Amino acid sequence: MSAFALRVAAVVASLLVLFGGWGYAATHVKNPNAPLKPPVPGAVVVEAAPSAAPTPIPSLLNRPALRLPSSSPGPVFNLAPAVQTTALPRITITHVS
Amino acid sequence: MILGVPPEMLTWIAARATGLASYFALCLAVLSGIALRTSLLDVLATNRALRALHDFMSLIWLPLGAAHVVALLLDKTARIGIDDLFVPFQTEYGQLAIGLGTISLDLVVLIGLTSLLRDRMNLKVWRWIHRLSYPMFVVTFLHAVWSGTDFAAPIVSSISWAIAGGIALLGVSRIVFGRLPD
Repeated sequence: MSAFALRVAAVVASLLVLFGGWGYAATHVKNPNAPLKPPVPGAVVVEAAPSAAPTPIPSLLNRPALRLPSSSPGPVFNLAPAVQTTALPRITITHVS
Repeated sequence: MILGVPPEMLTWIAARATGLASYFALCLAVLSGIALRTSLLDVLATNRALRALHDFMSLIWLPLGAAHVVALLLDKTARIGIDDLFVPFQTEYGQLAIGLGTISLDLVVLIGLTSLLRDRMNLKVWRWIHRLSYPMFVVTFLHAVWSGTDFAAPIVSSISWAIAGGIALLGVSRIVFGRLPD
Protein backbone atom coordinates (compact mmCIF):
# COMPACT_ATOMS: atom_id res chain seq x y z
CA MET A 1 0.00 0.00 0.00
CA SER A 2 1.39 3.37 -0.96
CA ALA A 3 1.96 6.25 1.44
CA PHE A 4 -0.81 8.26 -0.22
CA ALA A 5 -3.30 5.43 0.22
CA LEU A 6 -2.31 5.05 3.86
CA ARG A 7 -2.84 8.78 4.46
CA VAL A 8 -6.21 8.80 2.75
CA ALA A 9 -7.30 5.75 4.73
CA ALA A 10 -6.15 7.36 7.98
CA VAL A 11 -8.00 10.61 7.23
CA VAL A 12 -11.18 8.78 6.27
CA ALA A 13 -11.03 6.56 9.36
CA SER A 14 -10.40 9.53 11.65
CA LEU A 15 -13.29 11.49 10.13
CA LEU A 16 -15.54 8.47 10.50
CA VAL A 17 -14.66 8.24 14.19
CA LEU A 18 -15.15 12.01 14.60
CA PHE A 19 -18.60 12.12 13.01
CA GLY A 20 -19.60 8.77 14.43
CA GLY A 21 -18.55 9.94 17.89
CA TRP A 22 -20.47 13.18 17.38
CA GLY A 23 -23.59 11.31 16.38
CA TYR A 24 -23.29 8.91 19.29
CA ALA A 25 -22.64 11.69 21.83
CA ALA A 26 -25.52 13.77 20.43
CA THR A 27 -27.94 10.90 20.83
CA HIS A 28 -26.56 9.91 24.25
CA VAL A 29 -26.13 13.31 25.86
CA LYS A 30 -26.35 11.95 29.38
CA ASN A 31 -24.63 8.67 30.01
CA PRO A 32 -25.57 7.18 33.40
CA ASN A 33 -22.57 4.86 33.20
CA ALA A 34 -20.05 7.67 32.67
CA PRO A 35 -17.10 7.32 35.04
CA LEU A 36 -17.00 11.03 35.88
CA LYS A 37 -19.99 13.10 36.91
CA PRO A 38 -18.89 16.66 37.63
CA PRO A 39 -21.00 18.38 40.28
CA VAL A 40 -23.29 21.00 38.76
CA PRO A 41 -23.25 24.34 40.64
CA GLY A 42 -26.70 25.57 41.63
CA ALA A 43 -28.30 22.25 40.97
CA VAL A 44 -31.58 21.63 42.79
CA VAL A 45 -31.16 18.86 45.30
CA VAL A 46 -34.14 16.55 45.13
CA GLU A 47 -35.15 15.46 48.58
CA ALA A 48 -36.41 12.00 49.20
CA ALA A 49 -40.15 11.67 48.94
CA PRO A 50 -41.94 11.09 52.23
CA SER A 51 -42.62 7.49 52.93
CA ALA A 52 -46.03 6.09 52.29
CA ALA A 53 -46.17 4.45 55.71
CA PRO A 54 -49.43 5.14 57.55
CA THR A 55 -49.38 7.56 60.44
CA PRO A 56 -49.53 5.63 63.67
CA ILE A 57 -52.52 6.24 65.89
CA PRO A 58 -51.33 7.81 69.17
CA SER A 59 -53.83 5.93 71.25
CA LEU A 60 -52.46 2.64 69.97
CA LEU A 61 -48.86 3.68 70.42
CA ASN A 62 -49.39 4.64 74.03
CA ARG A 63 -51.00 1.45 75.13
CA PRO A 64 -49.36 0.22 78.32
CA ALA A 65 -48.24 -3.02 76.71
CA LEU A 66 -46.23 -1.22 73.96
CA ARG A 67 -44.87 1.69 75.96
CA LEU A 68 -41.11 1.60 76.32
CA PRO A 69 -39.57 2.48 79.67
CA SER A 70 -38.36 6.05 79.75
CA SER A 71 -37.01 8.37 82.39
CA SER A 72 -38.68 11.45 80.88
CA PRO A 73 -42.42 12.08 81.27
CA GLY A 74 -44.55 11.09 78.31
CA PRO A 75 -46.41 13.48 76.04
CA VAL A 76 -49.55 15.14 77.37
CA PHE A 77 -52.55 14.95 75.08
CA ASN A 78 -55.26 17.59 75.17
CA LEU A 79 -58.49 15.71 74.73
CA ALA A 80 -60.76 18.79 75.03
CA PRO A 81 -63.43 19.23 72.32
CA ALA A 82 -62.18 20.93 69.16
CA VAL A 83 -65.26 23.16 68.84
CA GLN A 84 -64.87 26.20 71.03
CA THR A 85 -66.77 29.42 71.54
CA THR A 86 -65.64 32.65 69.91
CA ALA A 87 -66.26 36.38 70.17
CA LEU A 88 -66.81 36.81 66.40
CA PRO A 89 -70.29 37.82 65.13
CA ARG A 90 -72.61 35.09 64.00
CA ILE A 91 -72.61 34.02 60.39
CA THR A 92 -76.03 34.83 59.03
CA ILE A 93 -75.34 34.63 55.30
CA THR A 94 -74.05 31.42 53.87
CA HIS A 95 -74.37 32.19 50.15
CA VAL A 96 -72.68 34.96 48.20
CA SER A 97 -73.86 35.59 44.66
CA MET B 1 -29.92 23.34 17.22
CA ILE B 2 -26.35 23.39 15.91
CA LEU B 3 -25.27 20.24 14.08
CA GLY B 4 -28.14 18.42 15.74
CA VAL B 5 -27.13 19.55 19.22
CA PRO B 6 -28.67 22.20 21.51
CA PRO B 7 -26.35 25.25 21.74
CA GLU B 8 -25.74 24.80 25.47
CA MET B 9 -24.52 21.24 24.84
CA LEU B 10 -22.32 22.05 21.86
CA THR B 11 -19.00 22.24 23.70
CA TRP B 12 -19.75 19.09 25.67
CA ILE B 13 -20.59 17.05 22.57
CA ALA B 14 -17.60 18.53 20.72
CA ALA B 15 -15.29 17.61 23.60
CA ARG B 16 -16.48 14.02 23.55
CA ALA B 17 -16.35 13.60 19.77
CA THR B 18 -12.92 15.20 19.38
CA GLY B 19 -11.66 13.21 22.35
CA LEU B 20 -12.67 9.96 20.68
CA ALA B 21 -11.28 10.99 17.29
CA SER B 22 -7.98 12.28 18.67
CA TYR B 23 -7.53 9.09 20.67
CA PHE B 24 -8.16 7.00 17.56
CA ALA B 25 -5.75 9.10 15.47
CA LEU B 26 -3.16 8.88 18.24
CA CYS B 27 -3.52 5.10 18.16
CA LEU B 28 -2.78 5.14 14.44
CA ALA B 29 0.24 7.38 15.02
CA VAL B 30 1.65 5.12 17.72
CA LEU B 31 0.86 2.02 15.70
CA SER B 32 2.66 3.33 12.63
CA GLY B 33 5.56 4.48 14.81
CA ILE B 34 6.01 1.04 16.38
CA ALA B 35 5.62 -0.56 12.97
CA LEU B 36 8.76 1.25 11.86
CA ARG B 37 10.75 -0.74 14.41
CA THR B 38 9.07 -4.08 13.97
CA SER B 39 8.43 -6.08 10.88
CA LEU B 40 4.96 -7.16 11.89
CA LEU B 41 3.25 -4.65 9.60
CA ASP B 42 5.63 -5.05 6.68
CA VAL B 43 2.89 -6.91 4.84
CA LEU B 44 0.82 -3.72 4.88
CA ALA B 45 3.31 -1.24 3.47
CA THR B 46 6.95 -0.37 3.13
CA ASN B 47 8.84 1.33 5.92
CA ARG B 48 8.94 4.53 3.86
CA ALA B 49 5.16 4.58 3.55
CA LEU B 50 4.69 3.82 7.26
CA ARG B 51 7.11 6.61 8.13
CA ALA B 52 5.15 9.00 5.94
CA LEU B 53 1.94 7.93 7.68
CA HIS B 54 3.54 8.33 11.11
CA ASP B 55 4.65 11.90 10.32
CA PHE B 56 1.31 12.72 8.71
CA MET B 57 -0.76 11.50 11.67
CA SER B 58 0.48 14.34 13.85
CA LEU B 59 -1.36 16.69 11.49
CA ILE B 60 -4.56 14.85 12.38
CA TRP B 61 -4.42 13.99 16.05
CA LEU B 62 -2.79 17.21 17.21
CA PRO B 63 -5.62 19.49 15.95
CA LEU B 64 -8.20 17.02 17.23
CA GLY B 65 -6.50 16.93 20.62
CA ALA B 66 -6.31 20.72 20.68
CA ALA B 67 -10.01 20.92 19.83
CA HIS B 68 -10.73 18.47 22.67
CA VAL B 69 -8.85 20.68 25.15
CA VAL B 70 -10.44 23.93 23.90
CA ALA B 71 -13.93 22.43 24.02
CA LEU B 72 -13.35 21.30 27.62
CA LEU B 73 -12.05 24.76 28.53
CA LEU B 74 -15.19 26.37 27.10
CA ASP B 75 -17.59 23.84 28.57
CA LYS B 76 -19.23 25.03 31.78
CA THR B 77 -19.99 21.56 33.10
CA ALA B 78 -16.48 20.16 32.79
CA ARG B 79 -15.03 23.18 34.62
CA ILE B 80 -11.46 22.72 33.38
CA GLY B 81 -9.27 25.77 33.93
CA ILE B 82 -6.19 27.00 32.13
CA ASP B 83 -3.98 25.92 35.02
CA ASP B 84 -5.40 22.38 34.79
CA LEU B 85 -3.71 22.08 31.39
CA PHE B 86 -0.28 22.29 32.98
CA VAL B 87 -0.64 21.26 36.62
CA PRO B 88 -2.21 17.81 37.13
CA PHE B 89 -4.49 16.64 39.94
CA GLN B 90 -5.91 20.11 40.71
CA THR B 91 -9.49 19.67 39.50
CA GLU B 92 -12.47 19.64 41.85
CA TYR B 93 -13.48 16.15 40.76
CA GLY B 94 -11.83 13.15 39.10
CA GLN B 95 -8.35 14.33 40.09
CA LEU B 96 -6.61 11.14 38.96
CA ALA B 97 -8.50 10.59 35.71
CA ILE B 98 -8.27 14.21 34.55
CA GLY B 99 -4.77 14.62 35.97
CA LEU B 100 -3.58 11.80 33.73
CA GLY B 101 -4.96 13.77 30.80
CA THR B 102 -2.91 16.75 31.93
CA ILE B 103 0.24 14.62 32.11
CA SER B 104 -0.56 13.22 28.68
CA LEU B 105 -0.97 16.73 27.27
CA ASP B 106 2.33 17.86 28.78
CA LEU B 107 4.13 14.85 27.31
CA VAL B 108 2.49 15.48 23.94
CA VAL B 109 3.74 19.05 23.93
CA LEU B 110 7.26 17.89 24.85
CA ILE B 111 7.33 15.14 22.22
CA GLY B 112 5.78 17.36 19.56
CA LEU B 113 8.15 20.26 20.11
CA THR B 114 11.24 18.06 20.12
CA SER B 115 10.04 16.36 16.93
CA LEU B 116 9.82 19.76 15.26
CA LEU B 117 13.37 20.51 16.45
CA ARG B 118 14.72 17.09 15.60
CA ASP B 119 17.19 18.33 12.98
CA ARG B 120 18.71 20.75 15.50
CA MET B 121 18.92 18.25 18.34
CA ASN B 122 21.29 15.53 19.34
CA LEU B 123 19.76 12.42 17.77
CA LYS B 124 20.34 10.29 20.86
CA VAL B 125 18.62 12.83 23.13
CA TRP B 126 15.75 13.20 20.70
CA ARG B 127 15.32 9.45 20.51
CA TRP B 128 15.10 9.06 24.28
CA ILE B 129 12.58 11.88 24.49
CA HIS B 130 10.60 10.34 21.64
CA ARG B 131 10.46 7.05 23.54
CA LEU B 132 8.29 8.86 26.06
CA SER B 133 5.55 8.18 23.50
CA TYR B 134 5.11 4.75 25.06
CA PRO B 135 4.27 5.97 28.59
CA MET B 136 2.38 8.87 27.02
CA PHE B 137 0.09 6.43 25.22
CA VAL B 138 -0.43 4.39 28.38
CA VAL B 139 -1.32 7.53 30.34
CA THR B 140 -3.65 8.67 27.55
CA PHE B 141 -5.34 5.30 27.47
CA LEU B 142 -5.93 5.32 31.23
CA HIS B 143 -7.21 8.89 30.98
CA ALA B 144 -9.63 7.81 28.26
CA VAL B 145 -10.85 4.75 30.14
CA TRP B 146 -11.26 6.46 33.51
CA SER B 147 -12.75 9.73 32.34
CA GLY B 148 -14.16 9.06 28.87
CA THR B 149 -17.93 9.41 28.97
CA ASP B 150 -18.40 7.22 25.91
CA PHE B 151 -15.93 4.52 26.91
CA ALA B 152 -18.71 2.89 28.91
CA ALA B 153 -20.44 2.11 25.61
CA PRO B 154 -19.65 -1.47 24.53
CA ILE B 155 -18.86 -0.59 20.92
CA VAL B 156 -16.45 2.20 21.86
CA SER B 157 -14.92 0.21 24.69
CA SER B 158 -14.37 -2.95 22.65
CA ILE B 159 -12.75 -1.11 19.72
CA SER B 160 -10.53 0.93 22.04
CA TRP B 161 -9.37 -2.06 24.05
CA ALA B 162 -8.70 -4.02 20.87
CA ILE B 163 -6.53 -1.25 19.41
CA ALA B 164 -4.74 -0.72 22.73
CA GLY B 165 -4.15 -4.46 22.97
CA GLY B 166 -2.62 -4.51 19.49
CA ILE B 167 -0.35 -1.61 20.35
CA ALA B 168 0.64 -3.29 23.62
CA LEU B 169 1.48 -6.48 21.74
CA LEU B 170 3.65 -4.61 19.27
CA GLY B 171 5.26 -2.57 22.04
CA VAL B 172 6.16 -5.62 24.07
CA SER B 173 7.55 -7.38 21.00
CA ARG B 174 9.58 -4.27 20.24
CA ILE B 175 10.99 -4.13 23.77
CA VAL B 176 11.66 -7.86 24.11
CA PHE B 177 12.78 -8.82 20.61
CA GLY B 178 13.85 -5.53 19.06
CA ARG B 179 13.17 -5.47 15.33
CA LEU B 180 11.53 -8.76 14.61
CA PRO B 181 13.03 -10.87 11.81
CA ASP B 182 11.04 -11.28 8.60
